[in-house]
Amino acid sequence: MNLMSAIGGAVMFLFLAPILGGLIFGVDRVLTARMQSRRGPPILQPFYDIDKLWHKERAFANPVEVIFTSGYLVLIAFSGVILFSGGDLLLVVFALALAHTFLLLAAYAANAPYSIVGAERELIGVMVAEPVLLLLAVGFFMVTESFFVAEILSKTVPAILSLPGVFLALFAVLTLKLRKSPFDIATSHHAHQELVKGVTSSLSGRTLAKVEVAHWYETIIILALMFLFFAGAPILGVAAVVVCYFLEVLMDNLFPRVTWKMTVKSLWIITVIFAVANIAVIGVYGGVV
Amino acid sequence: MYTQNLTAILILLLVPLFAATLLAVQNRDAIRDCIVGATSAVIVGTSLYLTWAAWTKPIAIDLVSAKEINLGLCIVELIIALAIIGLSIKYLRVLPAILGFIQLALVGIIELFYADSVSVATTFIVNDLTAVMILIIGIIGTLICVYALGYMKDYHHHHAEIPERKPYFFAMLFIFLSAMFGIVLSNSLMWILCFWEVTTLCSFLLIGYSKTPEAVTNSFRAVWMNLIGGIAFTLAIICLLEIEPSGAHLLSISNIIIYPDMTALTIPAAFIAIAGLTKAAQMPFSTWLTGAMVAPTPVSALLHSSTMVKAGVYLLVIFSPIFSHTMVGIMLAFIGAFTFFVTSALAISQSNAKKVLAYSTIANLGLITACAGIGTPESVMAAILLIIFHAVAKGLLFMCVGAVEHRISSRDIEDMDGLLVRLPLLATMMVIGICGMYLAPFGMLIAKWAALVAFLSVPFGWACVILLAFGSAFTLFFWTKWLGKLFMRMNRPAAPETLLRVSEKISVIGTGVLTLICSVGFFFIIYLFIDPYLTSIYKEYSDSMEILVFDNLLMIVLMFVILAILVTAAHFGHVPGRTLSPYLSGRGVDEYGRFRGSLGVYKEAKSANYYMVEYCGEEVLMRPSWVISITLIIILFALAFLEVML
Repeated sequence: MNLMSAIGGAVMFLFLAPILGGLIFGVDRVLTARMQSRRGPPILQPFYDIDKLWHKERAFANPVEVIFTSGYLVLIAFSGVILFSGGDLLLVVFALALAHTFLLLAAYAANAPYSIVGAERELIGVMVAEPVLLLLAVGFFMVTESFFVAEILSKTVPAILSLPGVFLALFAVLTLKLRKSPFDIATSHHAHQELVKGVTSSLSGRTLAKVEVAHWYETIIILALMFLFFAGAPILGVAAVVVCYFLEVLMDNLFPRVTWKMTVKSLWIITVIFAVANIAVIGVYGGVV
Repeated sequence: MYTQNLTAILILLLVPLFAATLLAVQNRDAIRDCIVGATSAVIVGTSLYLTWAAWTKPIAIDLVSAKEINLGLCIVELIIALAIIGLSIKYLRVLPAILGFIQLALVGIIELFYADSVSVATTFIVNDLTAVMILIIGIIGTLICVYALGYMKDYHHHHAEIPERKPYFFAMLFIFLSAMFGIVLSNSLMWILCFWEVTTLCSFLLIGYSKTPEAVTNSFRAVWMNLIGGIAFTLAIICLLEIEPSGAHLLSISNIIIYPDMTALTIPAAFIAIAGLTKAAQMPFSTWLTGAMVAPTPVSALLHSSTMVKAGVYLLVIFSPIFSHTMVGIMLAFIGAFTFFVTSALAISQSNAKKVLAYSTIANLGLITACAGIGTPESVMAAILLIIFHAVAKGLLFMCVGAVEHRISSRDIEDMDGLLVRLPLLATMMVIGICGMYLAPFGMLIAKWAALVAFLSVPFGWACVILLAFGSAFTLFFWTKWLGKLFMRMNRPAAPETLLRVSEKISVIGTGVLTLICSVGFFFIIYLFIDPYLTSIYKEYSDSMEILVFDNLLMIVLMFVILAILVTAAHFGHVPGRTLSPYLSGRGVDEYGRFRGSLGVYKEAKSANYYMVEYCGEEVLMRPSWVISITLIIILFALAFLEVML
């Protein structure tokens, strides 16, 4: 891997991802509001929110959550650094799982029933997403013979041609990762959650701000993974990512009452059908384009 | 004249036996502590020495008196079979008795018809794989025996109704260790078979220690399933002896793995696969290991981490060069991967900590089986890594659960909430063990990673990878919810001041530190032990595998650094701020986390984990997976016969 471009990618990610992530969430909220015939907040609202959270009183359900949320933020950023420095896709997946464990522990440690139920349901979400992310890395390896992002990016033929099923599965996972649906584990900005913001219900002030920023980072990571399918055709890639995100917002507004059981079932059916079938086809016929 | 190496080998084989005899004849706690302590020290020291000696130069030793020892071992085998038959008749169990008779008959056939040819030139071989196994048995095994000293005192305090038979118990533990050393040190399949049967008998007797009806039933289940393995093993030997012109020659492991005509070995390989599957408790033979948890916890720790099941996968790993050349290997890999998938799901539905650990053991053994079945150098490396990391982490977890059970009188995970506050030392060790089992950057995750990459290098490996991906997701689920329980701190009183016994403390902390050392030093394990082993076995193997490139190592090191900083900060850091009572949707909350109901009644706020019994319960998954795994075994044999025919 080229050292300079690796460091450059990592630094760009660390500084630009939160800005871009915050902007995306701002646009998302405006878009959602328009779909619901509301006006919506200013586009910079997510940044105002963080600023406000940062200056709130420091109060904890359990002081250890400071460590856990910091760990969550640092490790999410670290997964992004691996990804954007052209590192190993599998390592990205593992680092993400470790990061999520920290978020879950923050929720578990809060000693509150709402928070714990939120953690359990979030954990289900992580479990549902895990095989998709693993199969994604495996799919890329089968097509490009490398787990390294740097090498995947150097291919001229977009991987989407061989991995459409895996891409669809990742699209389904994005729904979960944006934490919009299902509504009973949601931590999004809509006012219709069953669990009063689930996993973050006991976090406040700076700890909550850190989780929010980590969430921006993570969104960028997932979108970057989507973009990876279009390596070799960057303009198409950006267009595809934008369209996918728009579809997510649309879906969220079309199905605002999806529960976690429905999500698990539908997501795993999608994964099994699309991603597994995709991997099997490549495995049998050899998918190198 | 005995060389130093031979002396070391004989110490490992005979000192535990000698200690077992001493332990069996006296029943005073102080003397027992001394004997166990001294023997353990000798075993650990000798294991380290032998490992060092084997690492500098692989050891191969010929014994002049091998013929006489052969005869002796044969008599041991007959005694074992007769003992099992006798006990089966005493407890009126038909199946174990029948299988015992079959085994007896088969051993008789070997002795009658092939007596001249069963002697093998090289008696003991210590290569790098053996060295790794010796370290696992020698260090983890003895730590568990030491742990048992303290544990058994509390055990009989908690279970007053169970007759105290400690001399018998400790004698069995040490015979077990001796037999395990025998399995990994011997080069002759006949000898391995004999020690194999000793472990079957020992586990049978240890599982039935409490003599309750449940324990008796489960011990007989263990024995009949393992007898099937023993019979398969004996059949494999008979098949090998039938191969012309050099059948007897093939009883030596060092010869069989370099045999030029691998397809001729298909049928014996299939039988060896069955033997490995039974001992490693793979589907459909998994129930004996989950049943084995009725035994006192040190037995479970020993069976799961360093002995018994590891004998099964060890056999599969040394045969993996043969599996890699036959269709048997592919089917074996499928059975292993399928077991990993199903038992990981089954573990979700369990709240009994020992049962979760049992299913997790079976799952990881499944992964090792899959790696051994695939049999490429990369997959064998993954298998050995899995064996090492699983041994330390699982030994640690079992010892923690056992010690915790005696302090809180429960082994249910639901009762472990807030353990980090109530029993800080044990809970910390438990956290290390759990993280060591599934989280990056700890050992098992690295090993799973290696397995995944290894699977992808072979045709049909993708099918195993799919099972691995979903199985890993289940693994993530059941470990994380357990981990979460430990960090909860809800309305639980602080534990009464209880002292952990010294022996338990030594073993738990020792294994915990080992888990961390192995995780941090995994690269050195690969470099110092696994690479030399693979180079000696596989001609085509030259380089370490792909995941070990510098970039990944750097990232793993960084991950460790991040974790270390976080742990240090959690330990020493102080956060200014107010601590609030838990959020209960606006209800009045008191300092214990209870909320005020109507009429001023205080209600405890309780929350439990998800177990998804309707999807992952034993009732739902067991039968279908038996059907599938038995079908896979039938296909395995069908393919083996076809391969020989064509």
